[in-house]
Amino acid sequence: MPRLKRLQRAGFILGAALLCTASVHAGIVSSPPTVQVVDDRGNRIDEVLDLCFQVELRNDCQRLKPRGRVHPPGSFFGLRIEGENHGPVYVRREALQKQSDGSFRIEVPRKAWLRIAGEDLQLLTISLYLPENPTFREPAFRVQMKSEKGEIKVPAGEFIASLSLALNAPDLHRLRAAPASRVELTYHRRKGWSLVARIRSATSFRPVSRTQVEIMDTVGYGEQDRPVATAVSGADGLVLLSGLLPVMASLTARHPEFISSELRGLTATPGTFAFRTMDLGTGGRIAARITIHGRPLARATCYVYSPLADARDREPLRQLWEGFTDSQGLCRSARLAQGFYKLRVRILESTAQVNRWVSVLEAQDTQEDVALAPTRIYGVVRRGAKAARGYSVEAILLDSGRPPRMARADTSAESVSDDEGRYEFTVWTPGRYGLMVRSPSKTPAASQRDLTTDGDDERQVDFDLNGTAFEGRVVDEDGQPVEAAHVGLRWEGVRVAHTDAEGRFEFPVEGEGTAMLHAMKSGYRESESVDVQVKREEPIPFVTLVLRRKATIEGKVLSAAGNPVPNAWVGSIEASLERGPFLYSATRSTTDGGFEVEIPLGPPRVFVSGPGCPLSWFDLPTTAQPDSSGDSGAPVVVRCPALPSALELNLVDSTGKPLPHAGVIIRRNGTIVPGSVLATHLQLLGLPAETDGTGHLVLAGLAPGEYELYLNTRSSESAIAIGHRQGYLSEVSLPALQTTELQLTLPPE
Amino acid sequence: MNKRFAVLFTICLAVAFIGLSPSAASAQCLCSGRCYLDIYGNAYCGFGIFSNHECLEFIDYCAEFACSEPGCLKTQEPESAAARDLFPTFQTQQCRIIRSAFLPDGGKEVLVVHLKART
Repeated sequence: MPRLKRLQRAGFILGAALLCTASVHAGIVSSPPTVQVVDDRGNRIDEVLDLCFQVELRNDCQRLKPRGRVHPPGSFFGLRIEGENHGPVYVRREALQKQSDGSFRIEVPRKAWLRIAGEDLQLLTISLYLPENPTFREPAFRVQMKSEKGEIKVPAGEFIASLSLALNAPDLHRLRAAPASRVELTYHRRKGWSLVARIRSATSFRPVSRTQVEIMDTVGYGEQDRPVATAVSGADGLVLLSGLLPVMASLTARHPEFISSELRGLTATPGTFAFRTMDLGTGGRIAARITIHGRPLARATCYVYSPLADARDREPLRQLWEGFTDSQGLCRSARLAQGFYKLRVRILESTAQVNRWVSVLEAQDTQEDVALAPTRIYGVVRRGAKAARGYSVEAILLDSGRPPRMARADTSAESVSDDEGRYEFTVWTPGRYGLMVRSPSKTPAASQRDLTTDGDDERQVDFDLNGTAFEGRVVDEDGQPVEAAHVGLRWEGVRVAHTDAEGRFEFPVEGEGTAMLHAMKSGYRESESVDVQVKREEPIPFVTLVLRRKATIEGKVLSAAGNPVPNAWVGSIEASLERGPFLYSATRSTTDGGFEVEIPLGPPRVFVSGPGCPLSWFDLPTTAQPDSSGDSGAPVVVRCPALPSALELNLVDSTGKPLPHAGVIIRRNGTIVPGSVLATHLQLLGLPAETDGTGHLVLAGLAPGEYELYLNTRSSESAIAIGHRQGYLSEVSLPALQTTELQLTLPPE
Repeated sequence: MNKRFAVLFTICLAVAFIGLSPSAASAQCLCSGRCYLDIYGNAYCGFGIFSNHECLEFIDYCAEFACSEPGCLKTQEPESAAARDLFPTFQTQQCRIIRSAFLPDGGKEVLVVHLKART
């Protein structure tokens, strides 16, 4: 029996050894890493900790007792640890370092005590954000006060603390709490909303401290912005402003080492805070070198202009800098923000000028060589084979660099014909020029020339205008002359002339062909168009164009409280199958809220936008339609909604890159807001109608309601009107006084 | 499942159903009421703010006539050599207005996320 027992024991040991080996090979028994937790002093933590491992889309939470062990799951992305008196800390797996014994050692600092001073502290929510938080969307720690005077435990570290109570503005503070220390904040109850702004360098993206920041109340509609608050950015580049009352605000940042910059369209729902990042640039310069026949040209004058945002201004350029070339022929501009500028060079005492569109890049000198090589252009202007005196000939450089969107062409040189019809001028740079001739009354002749020169040249260009011209008269439906009407002549493009006091117009013409004439004037419907045949030796028939007055409607814009809204924008709408709804005519209300706006045939609809009047539309009663005499009936009243809503859009492409220069068409409660109406409304608020470089677009001052959004590059008003869904983005409900934020990720083209 | 992930997942599922239905819209000439005058006073429809104050008065004129002008070329390559030759005097990208994107989108999806307010 002892032998049998020994055999049994040996078998048992062998079996156990085999099982053990098999187990190890099968991975049943292994030695997985453990998590070793210490506090900020390196001491073992003697309390129960909650450890949550982030595993794929779920959390795998375990309790770690004092002296206990936790084995992490095989694959996890990160780990959050918190105890009653420690943490919380969140560590990503790649940040964990294995110790020599294979364990992960994690430091979980002791919590600090935070005491909040102030009134009404019960139900106060304390949210702590890490200063480097890229979006300030998710706090690192959030807790609610349970009692009036209790202290709370918070994680140790540096935070931006948001103390928020119901609909009051979050009270923002910086909080620095050492482990196990006691710190105190005072809660200030304020109305409105708050703002966290991050000021960075546009080149390094590092925080910029000591930036002077000014917040302005931006009402829009031409009203002056009003300063409401100032602040200075901290070492982390952050600016904290609590309790802002304006519906919409702007932020201006000034720092001696950077170009001042402005952010507009800042808004947030009352009781919340907005977060925006502002990148300050140091700008660049234009370094222009002016040479003539290869030699530097000294004493030439250089100008730098910026195109104005509102190119409807009669002078669409704003001069930013002026200087002279030095002995090396060099002029170097002042620092300019990144963007498009016009460089203009005037040559000594000459009236001729050279214009270039120049792109300035951040932190760079843009070199621009202006090599002058003059070409004398001369010739004769004749009309009916006779010398024509007083006709101006202009040369415009056709390839003056890539102009920005709102640019208009410059005249490089100009001359007026003398008694013999002779003219002469010099263009200073080689290139392709367009030459046009105008009559003494400045009407463009139906004649044009193209000329290409390599410089150091002389060219003769004669104009032989026909003896007869397009002549005519514009009258109203009663046969009375209409002064200052625009007359369009379609002849190799479209020419524009204006009628005189007698309603007369005249277009000189060169050559033969068929033309179409058409008249327009504000307040009148377009005339019928008239076709005219031109043969060189035959007189051109006299043309009479008739303009009929447009119908108008009178009304009054009132606020929800019944007060007149002065300076409100009122736009009437027409709809056609080809264009969908579009802006027909627009006006501004007077001090008593009154307006008179032109309306098309059919039931009148107007859009209204004004100070204290969110963008909204009104179908006016058909009884207010004008009678046969053109007079409208009794004034109608449009009453604006009481409170605005706002929509902030963040557009990114399928790769997550921001989508700049994108706009939207909106439809509210089934009614399309024409793009021109939305753009005008936003412009009145000082806001762009397209996304900025970060893909961000703010649609503020909208009437509350249900909205549909379409991308304007993939859709149009007419397409939406007939039910096409291309470019459809989303539906969104916009409640009063709230700012709704959407992130839209667009599919690939 | 973690509540936050559950919410996110639900949002993702919901937006997956928001699609762009394909349709066969005809490419139309739309000026959007914007107008451009070149150096000769030629008017074209264009995308952007008016380049010339005279143009303001001629919005409707452009809409009426200029759409048959070369400025309203229906092109996806507005900066092509052909386009440059047609309108040498102004920025050809104005003609993006022609909305080459009128082509159907073929049911592609837009991911919409309602961002939570910051408190």
